[in-house]
Amino acid sequence: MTLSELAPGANALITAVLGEPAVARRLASLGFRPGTTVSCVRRAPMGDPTVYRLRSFELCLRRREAGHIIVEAA
Amino acid sequence: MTADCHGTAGSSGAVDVRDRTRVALVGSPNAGKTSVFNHLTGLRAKTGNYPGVTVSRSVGTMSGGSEDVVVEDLPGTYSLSPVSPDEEVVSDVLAGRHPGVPSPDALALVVDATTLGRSLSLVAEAMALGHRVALVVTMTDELSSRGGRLDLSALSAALGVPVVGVVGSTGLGIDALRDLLADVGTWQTAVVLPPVEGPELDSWTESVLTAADYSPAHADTRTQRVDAVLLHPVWGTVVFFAVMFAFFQVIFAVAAPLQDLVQAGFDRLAGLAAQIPDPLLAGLVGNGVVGGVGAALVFLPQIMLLFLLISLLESVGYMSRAAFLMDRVMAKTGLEGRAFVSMLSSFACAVPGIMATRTIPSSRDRIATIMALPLMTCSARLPVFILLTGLLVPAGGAVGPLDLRGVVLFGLYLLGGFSSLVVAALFKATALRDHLTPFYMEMPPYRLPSMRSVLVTMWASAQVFLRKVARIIFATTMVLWLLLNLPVRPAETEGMDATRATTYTLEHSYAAQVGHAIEPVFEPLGFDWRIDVGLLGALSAREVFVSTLGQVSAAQNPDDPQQALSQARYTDGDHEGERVFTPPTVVALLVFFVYALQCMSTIAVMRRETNSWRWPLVAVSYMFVLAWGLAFVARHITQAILGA
Amino acid sequence: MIPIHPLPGPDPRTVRWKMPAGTLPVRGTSCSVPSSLADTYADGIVARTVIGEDYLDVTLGENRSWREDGARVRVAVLAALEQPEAWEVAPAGADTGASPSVGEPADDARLYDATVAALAGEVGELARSHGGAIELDSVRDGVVTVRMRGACNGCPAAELTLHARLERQLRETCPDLREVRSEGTKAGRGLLPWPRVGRRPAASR
Repeated sequence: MTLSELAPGANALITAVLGEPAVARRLASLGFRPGTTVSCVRRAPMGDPTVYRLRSFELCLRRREAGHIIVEAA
Repeated sequence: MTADCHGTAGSSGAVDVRDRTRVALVGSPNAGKTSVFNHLTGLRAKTGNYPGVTVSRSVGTMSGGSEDVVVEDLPGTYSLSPVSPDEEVVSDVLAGRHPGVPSPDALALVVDATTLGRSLSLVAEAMALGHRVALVVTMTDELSSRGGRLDLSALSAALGVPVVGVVGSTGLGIDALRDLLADVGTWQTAVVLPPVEGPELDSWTESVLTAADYSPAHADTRTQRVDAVLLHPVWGTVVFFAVMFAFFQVIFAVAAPLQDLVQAGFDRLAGLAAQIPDPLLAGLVGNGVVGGVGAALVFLPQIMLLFLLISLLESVGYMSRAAFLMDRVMAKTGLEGRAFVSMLSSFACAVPGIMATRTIPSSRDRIATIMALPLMTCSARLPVFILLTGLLVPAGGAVGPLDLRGVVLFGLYLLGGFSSLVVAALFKATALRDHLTPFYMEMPPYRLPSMRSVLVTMWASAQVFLRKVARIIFATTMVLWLLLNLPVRPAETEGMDATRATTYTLEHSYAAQVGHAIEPVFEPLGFDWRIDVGLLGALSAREVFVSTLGQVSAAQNPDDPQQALSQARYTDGDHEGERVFTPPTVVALLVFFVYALQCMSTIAVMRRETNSWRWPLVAVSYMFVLAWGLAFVARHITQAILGA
Repeated sequence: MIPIHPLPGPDPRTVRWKMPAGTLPVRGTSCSVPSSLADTYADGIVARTVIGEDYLDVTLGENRSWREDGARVRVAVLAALEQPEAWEVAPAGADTGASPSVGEPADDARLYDATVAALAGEVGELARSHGGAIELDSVRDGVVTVRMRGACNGCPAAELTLHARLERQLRETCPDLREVRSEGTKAGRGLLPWPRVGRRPAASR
């Protein structure tokens, strides 16, 4: 499944980052790399964007970008 | 010494001297780069744009005995392989490819200790390009308070480059950093360039972190608790509106008395100028010079407060939260959450709103926002709206329990805000379309801001305002004063009372000639030459429309000309003798004021922030077409409704 | 993926790749390395590797620089560390590392450097002028193994000349030299006795 489908409060393991190479590379620079654990923290009141936590920091992505990240529920 | 250096920073080109060492600060947004920059350069920074593009640039000379080091604060970036035109600027500058910007001699990579694992990929990229680099590790205090650990000297050994720890809030470590930057030539360089991607990068990162005895910080529990409230679907929204309300309250309630104080000061000065025996000279000094400077400086308290608040919200960490909450709304226009703050600021004044677009990372978004901002109902439109609504709606008119004038006024605000969003969406859907750039935004932990950094940021904005904008306001006011008062008619006005004399001079002034000349353009809207003269006067600031119109219509009190205006009649043409301010004309005038960009300061700051004349010209043109067209439509609809 | 990062080595041509302690089971100058790393030897990039407890010292060949060859070496080392069983070191006194005063490993090291120098110099030049190349494969217990490539591979005349020149030159500086052996193409892993006669490809001159 993709990261955008991860429910708030759930954890997952990133297995791949797809999409436009430039975008995938950027997501990797942000810390979304295969083998990293990510947790979905909360969605904005109107459903988008969503805050994710990676190791020791949090950042938010829109549904479109989170859809490039393939995860495995942990 | 301070005063001396200050002068150096002020004169353009002083920081571009070739034989100085140039050090660029590179780092991700929120890494504390700007705080480090402010500590290093103090008040000697110059902000602007990179040549030819709308990407903010800050350059300053280092303070504290090493004046021969020039520090450049590059835009925040997570990676040196660009995904947007803005990031291309960073990599171009580093490679020395950006015309007119010399490539830096060394890079100071500012990394946040709490996100060191991720930041090392940026470090690897910078090192792999063969630059001379040093690491500036910030937030080390936060790392240890959140249970993390890092050995800076072991990190330096593992990377093979110098490492300095800095605490932005207290300035701890800045002296060591200064010493390091003053001596770029002695920096140690890595034996083997690090890998920039793939498993090799993962291997290197992990090995370096292990060698540096790094253990990451726990999630910040305080931030989590605060976010549970501030980002809560219900409470978060409530707090958001409360913060925005307070934001406005401070701008209007606190700034207004300060502005009155400035105004009163200049009125006193103008009073002194009136003592000058020669009437023309007295007018020139009193109304032209003093009035011009006053007109400019009266904005200063509001601008400084606005920037103080924006800078505070930004460094505390709330700005990202506000942007997070508003992103979905802004996404409808093709913009992102961070544009919201600029939009909001523009309800006070478009000038700080346009300057606040610097927090928007994408230059396309920035330009689209700048194009749309002048439509937001700024506070200078308010006196005009109040005057015209007063002419349109009889006192005591009501819609149910609501005062009719209030309803019209509210409708005008709504019209401005709504039009602004539509225009932004149109620009984003056409000329400034942008599919590729991904959206991402870090949610930094809440932090106590460094007051020094906040004040320096505020002062930098005030400086921009004083240098670029105030000059334009002053010049426009002066020119308009001359147009409205020349040529002098001492013979003709002999024996008239002051009000009649002023009106006579005005009626035969150069401005009146211009008003008559442009009358055909505005005739379809029902505007006579006196309204046209008022529109001309409004170029220095919209509220000047009120007093100019007052003078030209011989009002006893030019600042409250409602009575005189309601009696004003056409002096020539087909409608000679008819009343000028009929409801269709007033409605047309209101709509014209909602849409027209008749504010020289906004045009000047647009020129500065977009770095070209192209966008201000686009704005003036599209807004004039909108204003004229919609005023025409509004006039005819009103006529049809009233059966006039 | 084994985490590694480079540190300055004991001399400018050597880089110490820091790795987790105990990544490799053996210590000392390596005489047999996994194929990924062996290729860098063959290409003349790497001249020597010494295994420590938590590091691997890699010395570059003559005229090589870490700036240019660092990335290639890193990839090779990372792949090689994935095969700890494929590493072998010279037996005697191996765990004392590369101290020049102790036992054969040190002599092998000197012989190694001498061979690298010879191949970079006159002998190598001779091979190249005939459209071929000689590459150093390994040095172990006084036995130097080289590999013939290009036109020289399988040509007895060339091999004889080169062998004689190389052996003579090495003997001058390294009395410990026992033998110079030649390996065929990279695919043929087995060592052939010197000189090699017969089974000569028709195409060679």
